[in-house]
Amino acid sequence: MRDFIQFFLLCVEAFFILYMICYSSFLFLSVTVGSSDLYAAKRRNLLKNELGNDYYVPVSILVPAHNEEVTIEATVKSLLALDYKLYEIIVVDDGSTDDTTRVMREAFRMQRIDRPIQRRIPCKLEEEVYESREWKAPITLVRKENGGKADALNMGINAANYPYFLCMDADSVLQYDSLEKIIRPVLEDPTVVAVGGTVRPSNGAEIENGRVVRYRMPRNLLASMQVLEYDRSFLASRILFDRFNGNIIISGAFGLFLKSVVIAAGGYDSTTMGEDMELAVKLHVYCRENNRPYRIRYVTDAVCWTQVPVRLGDLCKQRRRWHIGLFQSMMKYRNILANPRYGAVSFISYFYFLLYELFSPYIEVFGVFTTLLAFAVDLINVPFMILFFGIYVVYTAVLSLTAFFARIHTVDLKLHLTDLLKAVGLCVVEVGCLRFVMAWVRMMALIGYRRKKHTWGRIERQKIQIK
Amino acid sequence: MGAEYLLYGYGLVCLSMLVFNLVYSLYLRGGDRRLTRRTDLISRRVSAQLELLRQAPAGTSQPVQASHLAWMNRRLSRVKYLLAFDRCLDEQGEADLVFRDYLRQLQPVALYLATVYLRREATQAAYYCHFLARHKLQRYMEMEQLQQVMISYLRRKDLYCRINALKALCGFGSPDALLEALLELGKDADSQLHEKVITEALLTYAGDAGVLIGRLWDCFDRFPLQIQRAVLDYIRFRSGDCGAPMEKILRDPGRNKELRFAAIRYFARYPDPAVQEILLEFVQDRDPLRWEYAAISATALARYPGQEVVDALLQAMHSPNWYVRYNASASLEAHGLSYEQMLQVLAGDDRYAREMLHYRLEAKRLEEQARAAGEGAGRPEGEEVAVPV
Repeated sequence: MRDFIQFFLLCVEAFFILYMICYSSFLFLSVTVGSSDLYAAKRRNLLKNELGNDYYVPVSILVPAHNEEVTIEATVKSLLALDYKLYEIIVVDDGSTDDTTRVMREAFRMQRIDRPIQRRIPCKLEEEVYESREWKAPITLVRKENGGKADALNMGINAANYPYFLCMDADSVLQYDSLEKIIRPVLEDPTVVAVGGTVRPSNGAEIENGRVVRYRMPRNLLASMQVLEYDRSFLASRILFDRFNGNIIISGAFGLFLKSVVIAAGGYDSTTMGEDMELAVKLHVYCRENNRPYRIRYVTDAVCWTQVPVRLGDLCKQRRRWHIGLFQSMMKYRNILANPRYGAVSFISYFYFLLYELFSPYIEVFGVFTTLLAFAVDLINVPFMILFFGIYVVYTAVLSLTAFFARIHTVDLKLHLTDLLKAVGLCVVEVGCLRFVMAWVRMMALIGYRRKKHTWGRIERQKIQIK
Repeated sequence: MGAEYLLYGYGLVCLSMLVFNLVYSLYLRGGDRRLTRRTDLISRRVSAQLELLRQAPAGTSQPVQASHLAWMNRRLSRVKYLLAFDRCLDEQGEADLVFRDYLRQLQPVALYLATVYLRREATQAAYYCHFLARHKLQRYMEMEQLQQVMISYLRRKDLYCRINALKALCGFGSPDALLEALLELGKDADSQLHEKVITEALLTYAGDAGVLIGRLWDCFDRFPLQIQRAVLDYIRFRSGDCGAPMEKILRDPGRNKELRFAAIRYFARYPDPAVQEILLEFVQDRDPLRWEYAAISATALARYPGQEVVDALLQAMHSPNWYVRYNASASLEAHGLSYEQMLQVLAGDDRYAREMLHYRLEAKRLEEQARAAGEGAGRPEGEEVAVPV
């Protein structure tokens, strides 16, 4: 029996060494590429390698909202402060049970109107439509039957007047130049069908007219750890994947899409929880199956500020949703796996998300259990185990800090010394503790997920601090 | 043991990256100071030369010192000093005649730098083109040689290098050079610029637009589609005297539909009775594959008077296509029909037409309210063409 356990643990050890080497290599490569890309972008800006803001493409901004009475007014006001010439704002109230519609009507003096909406993608029926033309950009509010976020976005697409649409969350704030920046890849390359922007936690940022006037690490430790995590994940995979048109996720908080292609591909899938990832993968599939030349881009300097959960319970709920969404998208498009037709999307992006996102919680928790087993049968070299874990924590923490500093420096944010110390301390806690808690949450996410389809993930909203 | 050495190695490199980040951030903090120092240095040198030029007897011109030109050649070959010179030029007033004379005499430097930056990495090359386009130094210079070098910049693969070089050439105001540039751009089928970018660059053309448009028509069929679209858009913004060639494009079924759409938009801006008949044909066409022609023509007909047009637009209100109905209702409004009148005319069983008219009626009310309040964006432009912009 002991021999069998020994053999088993040997296999596990070999697997984990291989797994960790691949992960470390990927993380190292992506952070290196990401950092150099950020510095190159800064240099390009300094040397005026950019399009002036005379160029514009009309954009419809879609804001799906469900029970967002606390944040919706500030969000729409921030959209009215955007430095862009031609855009419209469409808020879709997905059957809110609070006063979202009333807040919108009163804040923006909206009036009810009988507007026919062309149903090019299926979605639940509209109940009321309100419009206001009194502001810098026309605002439309569509109140519809509850159908989930994807359904609300499909309604927004149907109501949109312009050829490109931008989706965002109702608790997010776009930086004043974000629209101008996110549209640039479209002007640079006519084959671009979707562009993902950078999402940064707004907790701790003071935003005035769409500009960050003061930036501190959030007081809340959980939010601070998420700042580090966001920077690492956005810098790590997305810039690298962008190099080979391999991004298979565009955050639902900030993404631009070519409307005609999204409609042709069937719009958002309202049966999945991860509608943002599902759409990005769907666009890859649609374009490749139809031999349409296409690019899905990621831009680092188009920034959206979003609230991250400050309570562990809310964070767990959010991550649970994300993991279920990931699972559904990966399963729905499983034919991509090892499919030469999809090239790097299949062999790098899909493989990465499968191994290091979808399976990682199971692998990590399995690793902890086998460590306990090895300890129980006295087959573990404890000093080596501690050393290995220490190297892992320091390594990932250093990469998190690299990503964090690269992001801070290249967007000209100034940090206080206390923030610096906080970042250094918390990156260790994030890698050494929070990551394992999240691994457990994600591992348990798929249990009973079918019962919770079409629901909006609720996290407690705070009023957005916008001046 | 063994695997951890690899991780040690990775950790070491990452630590180096972290140190690099910290050091680089300190370096960036001093960036503004260093730029100001360089700007001051160049400003002092330039001021000394201006002083010399001012001492020249009235009616004569004093040459800039050769040593100064050599110094400028050397320094401005470094992009940090070119940035500083950029700032220095911002601080000088171009109205000063002596300063203009100084810039004129800088021509050999500009030409020398053009050849230097042509060999540099793409971002620096693009910056040099931006510098030329921005300060329009060519106004004071003989341009021929510089233009030829700029055309070489267009052959580079980098997008911003090409855009900035095109802008610089537009600023030069020479139709022949610009034409050569557009033909050069058209050669590379793999990296076409967006038509909006080309149109915007053309709109900054500093020479005689009439002459340029004449030359563009001469070479029109030699351009690829992307540039043809941009050229037609440019002509629409600049001249109403191109009815004949536009009509030819409009009537030619062999032409790409985007070009024919551009021609319809031209006749929407500059109405011409000669094309009314074909616009009516388009708007009455019920072929679902040709709905874009109908939708754009419905908008164009807003400025064509006559009962025949009104009747065609009323018919278009029954189109199965949403955009055709939307645009037709807006054009009927422009013809002076109130929506109440239209509702009477269209009273019947066509629910889609009725819904659209109701909506337009209410939207108009909102627009009027917004106008009365003295603010607002007005009505959003409808998606008159549902193809990507």
